Amino acid sequence: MINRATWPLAIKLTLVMTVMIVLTVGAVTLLSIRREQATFRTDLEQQGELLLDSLTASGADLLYRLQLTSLQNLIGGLGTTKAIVAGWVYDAQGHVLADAFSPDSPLIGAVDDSGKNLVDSPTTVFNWQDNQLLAGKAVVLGRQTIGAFRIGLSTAPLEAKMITLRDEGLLVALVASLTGIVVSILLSRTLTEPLRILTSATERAAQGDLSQTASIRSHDEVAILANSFNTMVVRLRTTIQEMQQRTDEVRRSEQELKAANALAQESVRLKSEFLSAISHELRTPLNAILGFSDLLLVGMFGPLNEQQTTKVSRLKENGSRLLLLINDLLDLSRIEAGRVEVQQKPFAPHLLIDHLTEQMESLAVQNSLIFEKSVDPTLPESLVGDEQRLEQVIVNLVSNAIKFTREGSISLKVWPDTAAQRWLISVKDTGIGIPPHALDTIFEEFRQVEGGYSRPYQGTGLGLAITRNLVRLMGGKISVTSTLDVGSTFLVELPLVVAEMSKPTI
Amino acid sequence: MENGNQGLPWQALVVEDEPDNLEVIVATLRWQKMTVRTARNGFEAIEALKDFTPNFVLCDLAMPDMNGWQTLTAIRNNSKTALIPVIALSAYAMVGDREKALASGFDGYITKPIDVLTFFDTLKVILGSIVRQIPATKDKKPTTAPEKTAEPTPLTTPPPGQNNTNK
Amino acid sequence: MSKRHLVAIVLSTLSIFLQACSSATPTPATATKQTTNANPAAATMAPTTQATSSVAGKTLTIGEIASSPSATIPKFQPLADYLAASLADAGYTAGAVKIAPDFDTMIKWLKKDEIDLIFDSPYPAMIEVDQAGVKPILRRWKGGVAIYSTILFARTDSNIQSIGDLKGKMLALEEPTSTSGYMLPKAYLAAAGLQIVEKPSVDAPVASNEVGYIFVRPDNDVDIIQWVLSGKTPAGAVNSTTFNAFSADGKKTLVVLGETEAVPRHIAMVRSDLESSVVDSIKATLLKMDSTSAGQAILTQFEKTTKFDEFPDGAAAALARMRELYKLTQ
Repeated sequence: MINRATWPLAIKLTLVMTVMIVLTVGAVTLLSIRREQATFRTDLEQQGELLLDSLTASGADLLYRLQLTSLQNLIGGLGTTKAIVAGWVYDAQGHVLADAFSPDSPLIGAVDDSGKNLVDSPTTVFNWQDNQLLAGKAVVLGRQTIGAFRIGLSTAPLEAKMITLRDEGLLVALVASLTGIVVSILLSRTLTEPLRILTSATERAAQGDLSQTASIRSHDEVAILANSFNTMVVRLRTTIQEMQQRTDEVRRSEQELKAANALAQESVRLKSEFLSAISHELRTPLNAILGFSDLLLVGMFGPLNEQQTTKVSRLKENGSRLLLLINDLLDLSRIEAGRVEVQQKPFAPHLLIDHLTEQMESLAVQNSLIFEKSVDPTLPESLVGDEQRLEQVIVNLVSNAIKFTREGSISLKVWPDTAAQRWLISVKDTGIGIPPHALDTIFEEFRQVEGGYSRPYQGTGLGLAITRNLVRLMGGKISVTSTLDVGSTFLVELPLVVAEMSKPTI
Repeated sequence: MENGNQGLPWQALVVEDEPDNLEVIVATLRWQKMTVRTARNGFEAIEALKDFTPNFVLCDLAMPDMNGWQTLTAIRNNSKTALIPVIALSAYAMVGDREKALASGFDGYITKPIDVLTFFDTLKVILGSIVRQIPATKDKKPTTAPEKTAEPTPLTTPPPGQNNTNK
Repeated sequence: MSKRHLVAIVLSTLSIFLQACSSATPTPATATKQTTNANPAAATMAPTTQATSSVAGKTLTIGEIASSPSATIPKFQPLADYLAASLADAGYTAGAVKIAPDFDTMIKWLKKDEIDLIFDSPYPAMIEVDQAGVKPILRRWKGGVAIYSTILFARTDSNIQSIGDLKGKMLALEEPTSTSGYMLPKAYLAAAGLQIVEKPSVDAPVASNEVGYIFVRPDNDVDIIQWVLSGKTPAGAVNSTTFNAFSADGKKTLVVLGETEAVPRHIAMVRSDLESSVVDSIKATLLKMDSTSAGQAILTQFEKTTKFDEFPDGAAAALARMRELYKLTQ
């Protein structure tokens, strides 16, 4: 199966490569021979030209004077050069004046009527024959053609060179072809064998056997492919193992998670119950304390003198503070337990602020403070958010400001930052300020600035912590800047989500 | 201060196990001229209701032996007392506590500590929500006819579920 | 199946390749051995000259005596062409140059009217005029000079200080038809009363009352100075132009014995029966040739001739003096 699939490819490759090699070598040799032949022909013609020039130089005067013996000697002397196999001298009319031949020349005794043609030709006349090149040229002095010389050049050296070249070419072609065939066979083997190995490895891998790899020793693309395949198999193997491990881990951690979850839920429930119990246990005595205080103050148990009234009032105030503390604690713990959900409903910020202003203003006036309000008119009529929580935040901040301000004013400012998709609420006071070292911790539980005022700053110390948590729940943030003895500014930034209805329903 | 005397001659049963709290509630109600009977637990309440039909019952939830819910069930299960409004009075102030109580059948829910000065108003709101058909009468009567003997009947009319035929 | 295909393809490719090779290569030929086969052709001494440009028109032929026609003709041909062109109105269509191997041949050609125009120095000119009847027409500034003389000189170590010291010594002269290389020094010595005798070789005995001389070879008078310097003869005579052109260093080893009178450098002559209108036309053309750049170029190629001019005292006077000198030597 595998052999039958492999052999044709090898044979095809071998065939194609062999044919290409033979054709290439043949064509190259042929071209080279052709070129060499042309070069040799040109060379021989140039040689003829040179010989004719030198004959003319040495023979022109002889020809002019018709010194036949000298001319004969001149022509005969050409034979000392092996390449020259014949020579002729013609007079001005083209008649042969002298000639000479190599002994086996076929031209011996032949009628030579080429002289007329030569003396009439302005250029050198070449005549390629079987085994010689006949080159002739007229001799012209001034305006006179005084005759012509002609020589026969043997093509034997050219032929010898051609034969050598052809033999070399044949040898090269033969060697190249044989080498090519062998190389082709080896090459196709090296090409197909790795492929076969790879194929079988792939098949085994496909059947799920990832334990083996394809080993190929070459350094070509197939080897790269094999390496990739091996890497892939290894990765696959690793991945499968990892997946199994992970599955196990997930299974384990799922169980752990379930257990932890149950624990957490139990813990939440316990915490909730604990808080509930604490609240209950604190509220119960407070009920008695506050209740009796009120009843005493209303004279339920008989009229009180001034001192008694004062004491009972203070008793009630402390009880109230205790209640506030409990409420705040509950609030905070609810928020931190994630049990407070922020609503996303349309509301009218302008109306909210107006409504709050009444409340805030009276509180401020009670404390001899001025309350200022400024709402940017470009603040949208209707926003989406949790109106109740927002109110709580504003009230907390303003209450806080009033609490820490003895004289001066409290400014509430609201404006949108449309570009940043936020709207901002700032509460500025002219109070005692916050020392720089406290700015970082001001929003933490039970943090209050310890001021030097005689009036105690009542509060649970949880207001700002609750405020910050609420702001965060609403997707905003709160910050504070302050100068000691000058005042503080709390800035709340909230996401600006404009309600789709232009006019909110109230 | 003055409105302390403006109370109605209502009759109330206060169920509370803690003596101090019981005293505060009783005093507050009496300050409003109400007639108050007390019970220290559910059993005593049931016992008391055998010969006493108050305008409403104020019932603590966390009590030993028989807690508020059990007491409510007992009151509701007795046809003689089933229609008496029962208001939970509890120190449980967590989210859901109120809802849980109302869902159980309490007619109202007041958290401790109570505000002595506003307690009567709170009660009126709760009881008023039950007795819709006479809000006008009730609103005016406390001030205009303080002398009039109690008109417990309207207050003891059936709970919202039952359609009252009276007037 | 596949293997057979493979073999077939390889074989066919190889056969194509072989055919290509064999067709590209001529059949081998054996190397030849040199042997000469004389094939003498019937030849006359007359050169087979032929005007190539025209058959119908007349040809103006300039004659010259030279050993190498191939070297000489290129110098003369442009002048022949130029003159022939200037004579187009007179029916001349071509210019030709005929080079005679020797003086006698030239005399023959002149006598047969084969030459229309010839240039020669005064002594041979005198002979040609006398024997062939040619007519001198203009003076030719060959080599850039109008006139020239001959300087007789000896090697400084030869103890020859004056021409009187030449007695019993050998003098190198050029050739028997030379003006400066033969006639002028011979006449000069004869005028000084010396008896001058030609000798067959450089080492032939010279009598104490005579001056021996030997001709070096034709056409190359520079060799006379070399001869003297190399010691073949103690003294020599060359024309003043050649001597003056010789290197100053070389001259330090030479002592000048005397200088002859000056004669015209070269004389242009025409055959006697040439129509006078043609002669006038030739004279006119030659006289103004140096005024055009084309003419100057041809003159320069024509053995560095700078110009042609009339003889200051007439042509007859120039040849008359030469005859006197000639008589002096006889």
